[in-house]
Amino acid sequence: MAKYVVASVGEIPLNERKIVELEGRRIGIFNIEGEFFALLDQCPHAGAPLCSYGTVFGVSSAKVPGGTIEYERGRTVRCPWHQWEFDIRTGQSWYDPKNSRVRKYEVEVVPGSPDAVTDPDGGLQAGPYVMEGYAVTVQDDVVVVDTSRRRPASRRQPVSAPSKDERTS
Amino acid sequence: MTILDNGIVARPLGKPVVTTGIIDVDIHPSPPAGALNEYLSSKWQKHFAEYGGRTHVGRTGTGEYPPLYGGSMRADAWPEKGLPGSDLGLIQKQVLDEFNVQLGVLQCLGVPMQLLNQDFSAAMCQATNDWQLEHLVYQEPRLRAAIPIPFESPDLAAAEICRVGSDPGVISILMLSKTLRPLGNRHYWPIYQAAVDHGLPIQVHLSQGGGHPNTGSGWTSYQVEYHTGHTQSFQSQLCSLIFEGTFDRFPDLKFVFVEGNVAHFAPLMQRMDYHWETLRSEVPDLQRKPSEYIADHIWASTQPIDEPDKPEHLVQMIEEFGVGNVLFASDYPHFDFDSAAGAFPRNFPADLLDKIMRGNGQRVFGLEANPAWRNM
Amino acid sequence: MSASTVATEDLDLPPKTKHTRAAVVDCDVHPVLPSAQSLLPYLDDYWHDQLVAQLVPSYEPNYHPPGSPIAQRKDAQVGSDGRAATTAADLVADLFSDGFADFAVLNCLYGVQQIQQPRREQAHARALNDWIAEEWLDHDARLRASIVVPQGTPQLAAEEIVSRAKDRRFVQVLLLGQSELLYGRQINWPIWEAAEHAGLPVAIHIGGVFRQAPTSAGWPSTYLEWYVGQQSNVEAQLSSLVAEGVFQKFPETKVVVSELGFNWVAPYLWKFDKLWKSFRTETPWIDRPPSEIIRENVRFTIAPSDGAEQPGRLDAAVDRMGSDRMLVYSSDYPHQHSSAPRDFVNGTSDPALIERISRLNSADLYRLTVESDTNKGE
Repeated sequence: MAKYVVASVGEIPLNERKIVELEGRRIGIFNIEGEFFALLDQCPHAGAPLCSYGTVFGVSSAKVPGGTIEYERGRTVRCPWHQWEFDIRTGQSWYDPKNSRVRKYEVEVVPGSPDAVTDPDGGLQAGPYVMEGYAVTVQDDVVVVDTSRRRPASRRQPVSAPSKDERTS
Repeated sequence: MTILDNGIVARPLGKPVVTTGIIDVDIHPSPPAGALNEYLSSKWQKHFAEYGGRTHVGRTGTGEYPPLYGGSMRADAWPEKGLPGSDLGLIQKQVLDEFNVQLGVLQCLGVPMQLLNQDFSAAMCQATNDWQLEHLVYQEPRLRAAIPIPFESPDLAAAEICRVGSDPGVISILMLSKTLRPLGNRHYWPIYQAAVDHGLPIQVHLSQGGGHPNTGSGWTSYQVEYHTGHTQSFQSQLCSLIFEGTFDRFPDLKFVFVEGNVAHFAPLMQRMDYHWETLRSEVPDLQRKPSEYIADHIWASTQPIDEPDKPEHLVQMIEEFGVGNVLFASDYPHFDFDSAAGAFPRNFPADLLDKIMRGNGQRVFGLEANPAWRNM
Repeated sequence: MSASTVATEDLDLPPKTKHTRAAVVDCDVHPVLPSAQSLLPYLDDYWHDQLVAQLVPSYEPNYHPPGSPIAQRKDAQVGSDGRAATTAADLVADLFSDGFADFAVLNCLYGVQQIQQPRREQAHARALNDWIAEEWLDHDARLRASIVVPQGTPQLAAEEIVSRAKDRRFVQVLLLGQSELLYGRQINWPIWEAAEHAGLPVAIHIGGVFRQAPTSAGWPSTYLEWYVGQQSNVEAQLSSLVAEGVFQKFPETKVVVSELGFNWVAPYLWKFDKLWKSFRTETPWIDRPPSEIIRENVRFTIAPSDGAEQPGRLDAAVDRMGSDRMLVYSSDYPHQHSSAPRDFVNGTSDPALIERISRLNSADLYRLTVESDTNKGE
């Protein structure tokens, strides 16, 4: 487990990606608005080549039905198979429940987990899938991936119906 | 006139043999642009050039609900040229070789079956069948074809079954889930007669179009309700086939529902039995309890695999439906594709998986029984 | 407040005297309009004269063919015409004789919704509700009713809800399983708005407007095929309500799926959740999985039980649905099914589930209570 130089900064233009192989794993490096993120090229749902073929997409939100849809570009990579949305920065799948519902999911806290970047307005919250990610730093002109600082993928326990205590009447 | 009559066949085809590999009942080929022309008469080529193919949708291009993502295709299934499913090499690589598919059934969708001009529909179905036999099935012995037919014109449909149904490259007949009448209606009997005469099961694939709104209460607005609603058509078809006594009239007839899920059929069977108990005087000629027809007549393919919160529920409902009546399907190259390696939950019973991947397909398609199979 | 309940806060008594508990409500029973003539006294002069001149056409529905085994139980009390449930006296005698139910909700299925002419539909709905109030609700304090609405014109339906809801014996709105346009469509939102504002749940009951084929694959040949197959229509209606955001726009909305079964719900929820994950971008107002929305806001009457009355099968259904809150007791009187309404208890070994289905799960729908000897609350 070590740090690898995967590209020079100029090699991955704005909003593009590069796929590299490190320690036998394929990894996608994304340049999103000048920031770099690294994700394992494998969807935790059914194994699709997420980074190689996924679409970088925006995130839509709406406060009410029949009202305006807000759309923010460059937030997610969508799986090329079932089109699930994964936040590029955190690897979390986004199912878009309200903040007050988050207690209904089992949350696994890992280093660099999405809890550190929770939307303060309580918008999108985490789904039960976390993609495998790598820490990325930019040293001088090159992009470095550190495989030792790895956030493991997780397929959480399936979401179950709320317990009797949790249900509101 | 079939491929064999023309002497185009590359090599003779026997029955598929499935040993340690799997059966995939749903692979979607796509004719490359212009490929069907050589199989169409000049009359129909001219017709198509001038008027195009007209369906229940009032547009020249897209279908009823424009597919949301990349033409409904997996993003990693696009060949250099053409649509996903138009390149045999990619089908071989991404499906047949990748998952050790020893029998892959081609279901060529697209508009040929549902054209309003049914003579044109018949011509397009013939062209599709000739094309897929010559360019796919006879090039790749692991493939067989379900043959699209102009099913709203049972006379023309039966004629196509008779024309090409004896070809060893043909393994089943293709129909769609959205029809003008429910499938048990007597209107379709000539098709079923032709099917049993040729020993071919009928694969009913999920569809748009057909002439009715996509629900009994009008059209859906959003993709999620549209797509979730596909099972409704299959429910209507199952009720119709069984309550109309189709399988009393055609005891050898078999249906495979493709891309319509599996789990929802189990409670539906029970509901059919429950109400038949009260109302059987309306269908006095029905010889069996409704659920008893499933075992010998109705199969369902797994894709899109049901994903209950508790994986054991999937197994329970397959057991209630019939462990001998579920078949694996990938739905390659569509975006909601199921991978044979990744689709089933951990701890899915191995013997059931084996039936789904191999044994049940052997029974439906009447394949050579592999002696090793009897011990499984 | 309904006429026959006593709430503890109304009383100024020492603690040991009166308590209330949630009532046992039979959530789906059917009064039968004896003939089209029965409505004439409730129509205004204009419509009365129109109908008489037209030889008083009948809108009797064929949802339960009158001569068929499902139409009425063999042991039901009948009128002089041999039909059950044509008078309050007959229905009440049968329904409350065993002391199980405290209240019953009348869903009158006379097919006014199949009238294409909007004013005629409105006049018929209004007259029918008047008939229900005067010849049923006035006759027995244990009866409640759904408001029949001219659902073909949502604004008129909303008006009927607003005016009829002042009579608090009307505890629900009635819609039919098959409509011309799906209920979630914005054009239908006046109905949901009015129901929410009046604090009334909305029943979606088997039946239909028949303005198009009742299935997406055409016309079933037999009644049996139609009846069993109508579960598909209500799947479409629930999908529409969720997808269009009715439960976000009108968060107090409660739906009671009536006489349409419930065993089909679990696999439907699984598919809906799975596809929502793929298509979330298009309906971003859906703020939680569709299955959660449905578990919280939709209830299903227990009759017909579709096989769940078999040992263990009700437990299996509830386990798969992921909630023990979704089922509510109904007898579907006078309809006859292959099991009796209370046979559902054989499908479970859990007395708490029986209690939930019989009583507790409908408590927040109709808020009906009865006096209780003990201070058990609930």
